[in-house]
Amino acid sequence: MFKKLYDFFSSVKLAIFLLLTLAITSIVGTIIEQQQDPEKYLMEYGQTTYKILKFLGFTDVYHSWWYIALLTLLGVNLIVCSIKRLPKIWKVAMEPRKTFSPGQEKSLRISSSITLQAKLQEVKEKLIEALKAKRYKVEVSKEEESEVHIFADKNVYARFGVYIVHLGVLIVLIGGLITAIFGYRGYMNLAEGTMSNLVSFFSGPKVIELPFYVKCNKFTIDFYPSGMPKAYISDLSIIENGKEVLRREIKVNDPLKYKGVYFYQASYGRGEAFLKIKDKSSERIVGVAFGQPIKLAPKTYLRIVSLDGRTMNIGIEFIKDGEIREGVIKPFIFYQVPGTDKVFAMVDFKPVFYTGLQVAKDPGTWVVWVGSTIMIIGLVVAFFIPHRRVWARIEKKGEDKVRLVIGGLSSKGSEGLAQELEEVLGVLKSSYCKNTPKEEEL
Amino acid sequence: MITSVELFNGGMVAYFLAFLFYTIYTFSKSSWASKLATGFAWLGVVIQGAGFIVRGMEKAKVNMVSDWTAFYKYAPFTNMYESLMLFGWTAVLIYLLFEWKYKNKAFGMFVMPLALIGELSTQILGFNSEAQPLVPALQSNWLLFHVVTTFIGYAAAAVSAGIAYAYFVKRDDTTAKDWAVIFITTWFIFFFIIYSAYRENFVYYLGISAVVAALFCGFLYLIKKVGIAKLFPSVETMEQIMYQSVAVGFVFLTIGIILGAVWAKYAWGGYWSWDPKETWSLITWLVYAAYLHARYIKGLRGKPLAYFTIVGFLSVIFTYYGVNLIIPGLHSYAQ
Repeated sequence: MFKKLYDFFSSVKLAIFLLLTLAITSIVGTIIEQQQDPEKYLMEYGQTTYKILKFLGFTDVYHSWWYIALLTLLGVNLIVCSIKRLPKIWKVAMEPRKTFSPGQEKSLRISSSITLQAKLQEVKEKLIEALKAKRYKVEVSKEEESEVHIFADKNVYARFGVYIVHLGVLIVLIGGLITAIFGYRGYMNLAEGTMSNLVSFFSGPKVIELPFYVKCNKFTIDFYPSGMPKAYISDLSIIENGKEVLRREIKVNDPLKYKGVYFYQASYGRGEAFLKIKDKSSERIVGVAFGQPIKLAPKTYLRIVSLDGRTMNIGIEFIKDGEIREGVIKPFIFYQVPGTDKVFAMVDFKPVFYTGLQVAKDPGTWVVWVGSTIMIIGLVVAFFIPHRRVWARIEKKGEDKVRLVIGGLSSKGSEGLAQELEEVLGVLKSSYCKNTPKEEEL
Repeated sequence: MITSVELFNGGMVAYFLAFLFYTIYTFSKSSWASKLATGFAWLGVVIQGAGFIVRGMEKAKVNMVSDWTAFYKYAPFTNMYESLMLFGWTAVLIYLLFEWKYKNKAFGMFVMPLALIGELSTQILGFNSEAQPLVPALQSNWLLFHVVTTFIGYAAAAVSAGIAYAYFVKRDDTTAKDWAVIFITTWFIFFFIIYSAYRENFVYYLGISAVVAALFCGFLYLIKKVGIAKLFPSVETMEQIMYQSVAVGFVFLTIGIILGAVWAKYAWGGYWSWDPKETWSLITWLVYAAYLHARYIKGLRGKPLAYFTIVGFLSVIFTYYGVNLIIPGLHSYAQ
């Protein structure tokens, strides 16, 4: 049973199947808009189709159970495959047959032989030197009176390029997992002069309270002469324990980072509402940008989302205990916050700009960068660096005459190796071929 | 002062002359034609390379940046006109590198017109050639590196697909079914290129691209009949080049995607947002990853290899042209 499972997960065919299945299923999410409100789907597709799409996970493909399952299978496949193949590759790379008995040259892609007018020891040393000059690691694998074998190789690590890539992919996948579990992305709308510590998720009722406040001091838009926007700039302050600890301008592509939380210039809009909040002992008026929640009681938030200038209807979203309710209120009328003795009313409105910040915390990012770097290094090694091996045999043919057989293998493309061997032979020829007739065997 | 558009056009003239001399060389084997062909191709690359630098300075100007060292921030690859220039330029450059490595000039007469068509299509399809200021999202240090690596990837994919088509021309056992596949895939490619410029009259442009694809197939068939295919490298070498350009393409696409993720982290707040363009680049990556594995376990040789190469390129074309047609995403400013 275990053996079967192991064989299943260690097959490259499974990897190809998973890669292609992921490719094909990924297409779905680029055809059907993802993570929209149910109303939008209902309008576009109708009740039945929407139910089917929802059931299949097609409205949120990349977070559906089967997509995650496919990715997990790919991860497992990657690990098992590597474990299975690594020892074999290790053996091929690290423990090659180093001797070069007669006839073996026939099994090599590149081989040639030459007769030289010299002593065996001289040729041996010259050859070792020539190979070393080409950055080969050289060793004498057999040494006898009449015959010397030499083995040389370089870039052994290139054999493991593929595994470096796989390791990188795996780390990226883990980074993605960390992002999915521990990261979040939300938004914050801040009118000039207001501050908040509440981050709303893009969809759903979730609101996060940061351990510090963000204040927008100023929001500006620069324009090109043509009227096209050139830059959106927010001047932000971080307020912690009532004190300003950091002040900086942010722009698109230039976020602010504080305690692992990033604040990005993402959008802007218009509208600031002023709410009067009263309970038995106190009364205060706060300004808040449209779309930004305000905390009324523990786990209880209110968002002003719209204002109809004609009817004076104010659209609100009321969030309590993780549930969101939409409603309409009228200005200057006090409403009770359920479960408390607080009341609130909207008492003023100003059509001023607010800055839309995207807020993200993602401890997986660095893991992904590490994985990506490893992946790129691995790819370069795997595709562009050849592992080259050279075998040579020097046979004594007479007092001052030897025959040299040399050949080699390259893990990718043999032209480079052929060139190198030609140059190595060139060195020997120029030293020892002065008196011999043209080498007939080469 | 000479403008970037003039330099780009000058480069196109050089490519055209290179095309003429590659053709003359192919039929006459004359060595001066061969030298002139390669010379003009390199000349075009140099002229257009200068064009990109001038373009960068022009863009810095319209972006009201006087510090010329910041020109890489305003790298000229931010609209269809500029990206197609880059595409043609990289394709010629990659071809020239292969020519230099394999000492074979048989493909020059095919690559030159392809690059030329790609670049000329900006005029035929009416893409705006003016240097435009950048919207805030595109003002990034990562722009240059992300776009250049991605485009080397795209161009390598284009070269691999070009070889794959030539491969069918070269083979003796190319069947009617193969020709059908060649027709359908080129139809798809031409359609997305043409339709992305107009975005209307779907059926009309489907028809037009079918005609263009048919002409292209006719051209290939003619080459086969005339016997030019004999001048191509051997079937094995072509498979080798096909695979190598896919490998180069894969490496650069990977780097391009990763640099895009780094940029996205700073611009959009997360390294991955499942934006349609991102997703399609991932799909392309997955297809090529499957390709490399299929080759690794030795099943993939011959015609299936060529088919797979073409499928990979279709995915590239879709990532490049097609995505914005379906769903507007975060990349849709690329128009």
